Amino acid sequence: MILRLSNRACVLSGSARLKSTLSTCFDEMGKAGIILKSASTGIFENLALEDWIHDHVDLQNRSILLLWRNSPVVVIGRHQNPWQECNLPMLRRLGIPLARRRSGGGTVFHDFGNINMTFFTSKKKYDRHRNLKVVTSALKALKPDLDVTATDRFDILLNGHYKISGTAAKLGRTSAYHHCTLLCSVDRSVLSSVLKSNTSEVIRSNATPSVPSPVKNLSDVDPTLDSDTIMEAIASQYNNEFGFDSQVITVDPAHEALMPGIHKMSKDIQMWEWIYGKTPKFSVCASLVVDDVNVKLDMDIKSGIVEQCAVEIPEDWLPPETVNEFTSTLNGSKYCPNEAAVLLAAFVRTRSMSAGVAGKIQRLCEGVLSVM
Amino acid sequence: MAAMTSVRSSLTTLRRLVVSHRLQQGPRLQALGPAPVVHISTPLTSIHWRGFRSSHVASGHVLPFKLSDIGEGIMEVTVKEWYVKEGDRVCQFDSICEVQSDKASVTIASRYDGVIRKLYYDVDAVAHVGSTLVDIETDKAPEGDPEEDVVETPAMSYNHEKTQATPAVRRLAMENNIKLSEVVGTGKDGRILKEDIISFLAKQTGAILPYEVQNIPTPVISTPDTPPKEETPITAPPAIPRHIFSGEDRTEPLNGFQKAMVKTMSAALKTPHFGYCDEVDLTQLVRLRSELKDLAESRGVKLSYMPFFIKAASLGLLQFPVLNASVDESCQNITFKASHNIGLAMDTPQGLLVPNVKSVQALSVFDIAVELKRLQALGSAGQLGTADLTGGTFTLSNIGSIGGTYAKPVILPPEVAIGALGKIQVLPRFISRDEIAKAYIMNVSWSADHRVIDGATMSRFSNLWRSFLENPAAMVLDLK
Repeated sequence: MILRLSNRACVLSGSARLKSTLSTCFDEMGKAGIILKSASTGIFENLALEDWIHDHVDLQNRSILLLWRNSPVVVIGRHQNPWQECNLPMLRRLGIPLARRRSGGGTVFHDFGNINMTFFTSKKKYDRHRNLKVVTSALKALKPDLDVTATDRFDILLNGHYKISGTAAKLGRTSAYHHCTLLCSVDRSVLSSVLKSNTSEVIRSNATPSVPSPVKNLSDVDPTLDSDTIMEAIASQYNNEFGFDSQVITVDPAHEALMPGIHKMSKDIQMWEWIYGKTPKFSVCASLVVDDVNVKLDMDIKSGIVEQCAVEIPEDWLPPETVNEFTSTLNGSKYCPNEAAVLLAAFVRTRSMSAGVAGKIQRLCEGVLSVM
Repeated sequence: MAAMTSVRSSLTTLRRLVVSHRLQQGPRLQALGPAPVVHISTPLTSIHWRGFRSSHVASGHVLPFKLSDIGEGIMEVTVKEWYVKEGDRVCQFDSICEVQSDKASVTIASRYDGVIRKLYYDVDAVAHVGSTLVDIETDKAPEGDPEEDVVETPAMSYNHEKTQATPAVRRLAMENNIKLSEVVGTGKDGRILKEDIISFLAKQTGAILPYEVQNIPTPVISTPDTPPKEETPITAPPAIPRHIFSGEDRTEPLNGFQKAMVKTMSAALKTPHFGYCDEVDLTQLVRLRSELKDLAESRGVKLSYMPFFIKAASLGLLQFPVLNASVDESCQNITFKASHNIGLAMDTPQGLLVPNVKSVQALSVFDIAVELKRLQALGSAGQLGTADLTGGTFTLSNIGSIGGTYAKPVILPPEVAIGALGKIQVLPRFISRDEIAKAYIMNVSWSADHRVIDGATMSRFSNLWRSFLENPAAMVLDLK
């Protein structure tokens, strides 16, 4: 039975206090374990929901399981480099957004065939192996002969070989959350093509790299294993494992009154400065061919901003002063093809040059933009 | 030294009355433990107190803050990001750094209030559990804290936790007679932020501010005559005299798009502009478009008026090629561009972008509509490339789609002309000596480079352009 929490349901008792939030609703329920399901399929709303629960709900004597799914999106870990981890031009072309989560770990692709589970506990009760046991036991309860095992690296493998789940965690001062994915019926062709970077060879960085693994869907071994069935099984196994008796409660992350501040949290993680700007320092060293001319490009990028840009071009192809102005236009700007395109267009407009030179500059721009 | 001693004693007296942390250097306004809040800024306090601050600091207690056990038997972590640097002031529970171990990202929070004195690890270094992460210099509490009586003691919240708020926020609440226990905190761990007080106040006065506005401190003005409105589920509070509190100035550096616009418009200043405005009767065009709309939609394109305006401009440029030209920097040579690459001023989420439709002289109205659709899709997705953004020779700005009649557009270098189209209005016009009829009127405002374009040329071009639009059938004669 799915119990829906609305704002009205939480404005209980006569006291018209402002503080009728999700947090107080949990207090009033008085349960030690709560299972939630998100009503949203938007990655930013769901990540904000995770953060809100982590920040605002008292988890010292209570644990929470949150089940959620998203429309197609690529999610990178807190300290990763998106240019290294996925094919950004393809993401833009397909209209698939990119998100950066607050927990560590590697890059994953979500769509409706993927289930996300977040286990919220106090820091004392933080136990990833036990959480994964909930998942493997739930799957085995559905299909007893299913070969699913959790590894030391907190992955879940199918048939000892195919990865069906990856894990990441975030620890705060007093509480922690551990979340993991589960591949039920994900579009594997999209997954493999978006998670293969087009520029990884030209990037040098210390960002956390992802470990690529062969993957498989649970529905490949048993078509009856669909997302809804699996989510129900995991919910009931969660109750079994920890001795709770919670029903699955649906929560709408768009409900600002119930979760004050969640809208801002969701907006904050959509900003370029978070998604791209939080990339650890890296450098790009690429050899391009423009008009049959070899061009060497060197850039240092910190916090997503180009700190240093150098281009090696044969002098007879373009005059050095023009090249210098070109690189100084890029210096200090975001490592973003849209912004670079606009800045370089302004550069071409305002600097008097012949049509031939303008054409060369434009093709050089395109070469540089292709690595962004 | 004698002078110092006498200042010191008078200072101690002053300290009994007040301590202000607004005098602290450093970008962050952080609380100094249990915070006294009343501020007296006499010259004596400001100058000498600051002087004392630097020497006072040496007598603080430097405590090593060690990396505590993360759990799960983890013995070492990698430091990934520092949120503080040496010399920064921190409060208890402020985030100090982010470390990573084995797919877990951990936020380390400060245990003390104080000043960061030393960071022990660089980014990407490996830190062992139990080793020192930072040295924090804690400040001694000022002797005999009478200042604490001035401030409302931390309110007990519904959850019986100490309500966290910085002294600045506490003062704001106190000034506005707000109980902190009544305010929902949206900061970390339920901390009450300035924005929370502001939104609480806004709700009280009945002005419900939308979420986005709540992020920026908005001036809330309420006269004493206006009684606070009833708002469910909150009961109206008693009328409290309110004063106006204004937001603070905010300075930020220009982003890339703004810099590009600064560069372009500054270069445009060099061009001596003249303006020429006219009125176009689009009644027949409106009829034509409504006839063609469905046909275009069946071919997958929404037909607006812009493709007609653009094609008419191109037909006009064939007769007046000087408007599709470019002058070099020294103004010695003028280049007549062969291709009519007509730019469209586009309002995107990032700001003003001007992509152009290439070779309009070779395109039909429908082709132009298709190209417009492509550019608009790229523009709103923020994916316009250099090919689309460069090479323009003439520009049209359809500001009328948002509003306005007349404008004074700025020519985008290296072009020599630009047109701004106002909104289409339905107005009465005389069709014969005595009869008035409904007409669809649009105003156009041209700007041209007076170094190479004269008024007569602009006027003749405008008349020709206008004639194509007022009598669209005439365009058929010149179709290529």
